Parts: sequence; structure tokens; C-alpha cells
Amino acid sequence: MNHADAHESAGLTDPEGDRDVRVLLDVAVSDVRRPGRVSDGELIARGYRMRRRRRSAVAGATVVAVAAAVVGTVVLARPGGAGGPGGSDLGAAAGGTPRPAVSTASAAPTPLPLPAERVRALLPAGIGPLTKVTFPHEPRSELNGRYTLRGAGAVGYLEVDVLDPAKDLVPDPSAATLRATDPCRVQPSGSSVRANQDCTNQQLAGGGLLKTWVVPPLGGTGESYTALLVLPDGRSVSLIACSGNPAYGPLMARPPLTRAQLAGLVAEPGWFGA
Amino acid sequence: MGQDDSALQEFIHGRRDHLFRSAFLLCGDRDEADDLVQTALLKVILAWRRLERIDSVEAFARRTLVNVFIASRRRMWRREQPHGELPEHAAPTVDMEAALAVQAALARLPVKQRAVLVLRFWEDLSVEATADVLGMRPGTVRSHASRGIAALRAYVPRGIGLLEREEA
Repeated sequence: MNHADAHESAGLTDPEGDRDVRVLLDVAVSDVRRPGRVSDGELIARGYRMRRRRRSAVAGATVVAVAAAVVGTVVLARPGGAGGPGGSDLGAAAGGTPRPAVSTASAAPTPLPLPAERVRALLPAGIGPLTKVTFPHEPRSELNGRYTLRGAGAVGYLEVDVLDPAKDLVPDPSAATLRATDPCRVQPSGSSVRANQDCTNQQLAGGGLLKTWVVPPLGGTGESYTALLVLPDGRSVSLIACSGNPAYGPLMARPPLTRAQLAGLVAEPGWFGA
Repeated sequence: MGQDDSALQEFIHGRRDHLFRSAFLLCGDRDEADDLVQTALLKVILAWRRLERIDSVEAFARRTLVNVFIASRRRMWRREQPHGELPEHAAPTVDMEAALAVQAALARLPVKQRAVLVLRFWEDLSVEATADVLGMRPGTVRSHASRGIAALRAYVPRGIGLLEREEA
């Protein structure tokens, strides 16, 4: 069969011209059947589990907040406690500079470092300074987002996308697609888009799969190196090091991390830290 | 099982296939379409009680599906479409070949053009409703629709007569 026949079958030569794009779309899905991988019941059960987990997480956070407030109050109110009746300032008792009573609220849980600081700690020495600028995706991990990196008067960026199905409270498509798709087997969706280049695909000891590739410049955005690690349990880390975008300032001559640095960085366990 | 659960099951059972076909038109891959729909429906389940009070579940599911699709395309190489992965057919018929031709044409459209075409012409949403789902201005929707149809015309050349009305 040639394409002319196919078009005629699709109604594309309808002389009345009264069929619209809907006909084309109907044709496109006419023979497509949904894979029966997950039943409706299984899907609903999974949704309920996620809902329970999310409620537990919210309840847990509330308990921690209340406990912190109670501990802080007790410390402030107890007879020997700072700020309490007859109490002495802890800093003064230790012989240091007297501090405001509010400082005793350190009995509350220590806040985690800011995401930018946690990411900076994972980077090779000499990279930075680093600033978090956007949340391009739903914040599955608080580290996810884009971080500008400055150097030699230019600005590149690092984009982080961490996926942990066991922890994420917002569902995401499975890592199976990430594992199965070859980034070099892509077809540009617009004439200005060039295909990815220099793709590597490395099976790691332990079952992980490491993919790296180069994304050519697109519009004003510079060249990017990408590394993607997909672990056997479905967790994944994707890092993109890009030479920049004019919105942030002058572009770097090349991405701020080498491909080798990126491949090492993506395997850091710290991406899945607390 | 509560009334809530029954209504939820009924919704998922009744709408999953339709959402799957929408997802397939958006992404062009059966397995990925299934993933997209599962993700969208999980979000429906998570929001179910709020949805019953304040919103149309159907509209929420549709909006979520499109947003999940667009978000997936923002990730890494997925701003682009895999090629060579169209559904395999052992013995293509006239309809199958036509379907493949249209699927291939859709796969070549930029993500938002495809989303506009699917919402406007498959979901039968108005320009305004499509704009609302995609967070665009109506003029932008018209522009995407016009360009999308023009591109379909280019990729499916015998469709010129069919596609003239919307481009006008």
C-alpha cells in the first residue's frame, strides 16, 4: 500500500472537506490498545497507599513541629533554664559572650543545610559559587532544580533531577522509560533542534545504568553535558551541566563540569540523602 | 467500601481508556501513555476528596495528564521525540498505515502544538478552555493550532483540503 491509499483511508481526500483534525486523531488511535500492565484495582490501591503515606508524612511533620515548640518552651521556662526565673544565660555560664535567651531554642531540630549548600558539598573542589535559581519540575527532591555556577566572568548552570519512588509523595512516570530510551535515538521535534550526540551507555557493577550524552546548543542556550544514573530499585539521578543561557549572563566557553566529572558526580550517594 | 471509593472506581474505570488515547496522541508510545495516565490518575486519587467539592474531576484529570506530559518533555532529551518506536503491526492494513502516517506526523510536532491539537480537536475543548488547561492566552492557542495544522499539512500532504478550515 502506498501513502496515497493510506491518506484516502484516513479521509484526507474527502471532497466535502467537512472532516476535521478530529478525524485524523481518531485514525491515529483507532488501533491502539492500552497495555494491561496495571489493573484499575491495583492502581487505586497504589493511590491509597500514597495517600496514607502522604498523610503520615504531614502528621509526622506536625508532631515534630509541636515537639520542637514544647521542648523550646520547657527549656525557656525551667528554673535553671536560660530565660527562666533565676536562670543564667548558657553562654555566660560557659564564660562566653552573653547571648539572647532566644538562642536556647537550639533545642529544636537543627535545620538541614540549604539545597544549594548540599549540592555545593557534592561538587568537585573549585566549582562555584553556586546559586539555586529555579524549580523547573515538581520538587520531588528539595535538591531538584537549576543552579547557576559562576566562573571567569561567565555563568553556566547545573540542573539536578533526583527521583526516588520510595520517598516521593508525588507520582512520576516510571524509571523504565529512562532506562530503556537511548538519548541518541531521538528525532528533533523542531527544525532548530539538533539531535543529542556522543551517547554512552554503561552497565555498572551492582546493576546501575549510566548514560551520558551531549546536547548541542539550542537557541540561546549553550552546549550541555548530561549524565543519567538509573539504579535497579528505580531511583535515578539526572545532572545537566550547561555552558549557560543569556538570561543568566555571558555563556561559559564550555559546560562548567567535564563529562568525566559529571559521570562521577551523578554516582554520589548524597543525592538521596535526608 | 465508602461512597467516595465507589465514585472513584467508577471514574477510573470509565475514563481510563479515553485518557490513555489522549496520552497516546500526546506522546506516541503505548507504554509511556500508560505511564502518563497512571501518573495522572494517581494524582486524581490523591486529590479526590478536594475534587469532589470544588472541581470537575474530568477537567482536573485532563489538565493533570497534559501537565505531566509537558513536564516529562522538559526533562533531558525528552524535549524531543523518540523515533522508530511506533507500535509494531504484523500485517498493516489500510487503516493501520493511515494511523501510522498520522502518528508519525504528530510525533514531529513540538510538544505544545501537539497538546493544543489534542485538546482542541480530540478533547473538543474550546480555544478558551484549551488556553486555561495549558496556561496560555487564547491567541497563543490559536497560533499553536494554526502552526500545528500547517505542520500536519506538510507532513500529511494529502490532507490539504481537510485542514483548510481551521487555518483560515
